Amino acid sequence: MRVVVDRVSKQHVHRGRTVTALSNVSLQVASGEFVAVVGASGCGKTTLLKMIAGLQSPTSGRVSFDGVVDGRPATALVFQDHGLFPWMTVVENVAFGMRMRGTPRDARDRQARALLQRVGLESEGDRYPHTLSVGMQQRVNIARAFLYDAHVLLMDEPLASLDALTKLALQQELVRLWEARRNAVVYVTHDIEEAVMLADRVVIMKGHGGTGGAIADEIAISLPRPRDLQARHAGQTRDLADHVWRVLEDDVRAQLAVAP
Amino acid sequence: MTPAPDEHRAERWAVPVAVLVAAAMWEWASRHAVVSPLFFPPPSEIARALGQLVSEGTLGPHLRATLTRLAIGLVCGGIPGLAIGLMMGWSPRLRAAFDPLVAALHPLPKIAVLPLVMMIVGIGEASRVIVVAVAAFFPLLVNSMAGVRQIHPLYFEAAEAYGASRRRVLAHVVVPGSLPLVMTGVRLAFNVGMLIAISVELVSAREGLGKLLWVSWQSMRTEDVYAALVVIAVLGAGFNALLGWLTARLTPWNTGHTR
Repeated sequence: MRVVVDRVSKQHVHRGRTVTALSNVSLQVASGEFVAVVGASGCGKTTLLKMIAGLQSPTSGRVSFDGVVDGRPATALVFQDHGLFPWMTVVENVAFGMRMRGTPRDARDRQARALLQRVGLESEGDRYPHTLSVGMQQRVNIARAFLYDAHVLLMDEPLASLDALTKLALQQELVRLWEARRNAVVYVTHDIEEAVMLADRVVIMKGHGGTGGAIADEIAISLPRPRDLQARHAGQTRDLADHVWRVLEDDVRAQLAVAP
Repeated sequence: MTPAPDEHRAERWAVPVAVLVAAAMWEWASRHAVVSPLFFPPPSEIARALGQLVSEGTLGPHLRATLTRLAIGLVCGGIPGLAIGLMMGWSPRLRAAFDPLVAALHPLPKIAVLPLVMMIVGIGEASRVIVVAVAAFFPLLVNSMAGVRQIHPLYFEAAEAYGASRRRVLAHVVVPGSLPLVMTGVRLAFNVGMLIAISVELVSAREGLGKLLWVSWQSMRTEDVYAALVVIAVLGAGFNALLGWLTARLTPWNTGHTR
């Protein structure tokens, strides 16, 4: 199954002014492909993600899913933070998607605990999210998305609020989980290195300053998998990251100039 | 923050010690006519009067009348208040439509509607229960509405992103998310319900703690007035403690600011 974003634009009215969030964005994500979307804050990456998730609808253009006859396929969404329900235990959070699907309690709890074991949280299942560290919370968040076993996995800067070391460890964990399932992934980030290290393809979005976000460039990342920490420092990785930065640079600088 | 065990022990002793010391001072002042024993009878006299009210079987029917009134009023006013509050918190459209009405009616002293209610339904028990229900309705409505509104919008999005229907969003986001503030609403509804029940009984009832107060003052039995006040205070303290315990049990995730 393939995600097809076809000439999508999004406008919304903010304090009487029409603001363009996205203009004419087209993107395809193949089944089993990991696509990272990088761009400066406010370039419309999150809007794009929410449209694929069905939480917002485009002003023009459409989002469709190849190979789906009727309705929407299941998509799972990982938020940067606040994504876990504070009133549910870790296991209940992880099993939430399956519960919405009607999986019986025993089955969903068993699977949730099995997945928690894979991310090293087997003894935290009955705790409430606020008692966990931010890094643990994001592992739960990611586990919830993977357990939903959606065809399309959407992640909105899932590791952005973590410290650098935790982030490295979770990137590895995330890729390991994904390699076992191979869902189509759209991974939004503003971390260029992360995009290059995780993705099969990096989509670069620009568009600060009212013109609306658009795709400026796309590059395929052909680094072999699994990519370990050494790969991060390989010359090829550096070149790819440099390329992304050169495309983004003027957009980021424009944003700095506009800032008060 | 969990206080150290020592601190807990100190807290447990503080209240009874303070009450005993105050009672002893009062007892002494009243017995030595430092304060007028007519208006401030010694606590031992109040305790004796309370014991007599119990043993003569006077207190029972009054207590039962007030508690029944309060319970029916809380249920009949509180449940609609809860339901409407949750819906108004959830739907901006409903809120826009009804919020001005709530804002206008909420501050009205509820005892003031008693004459109107008596004109409509007659002077019977129904009029008293209705006024208690009206009083309980508003705190639950306002708190449930605030409870839903303080739920972070991301929780609604997260539920939707995992395919939750509206009914399931209600069950898994709206209700649990608002529960801490709803429990505060229950507490406020109880307190204002008690206040209104006693007030109604002062002016219109054959039985009830308010009636007991009124009759005692009319016959100048000061110690009975105090005995009735003690019963009301103990009821309030007991119910609030029960609710605090229940809230902690129902919202184990909520260790923050709303508790």
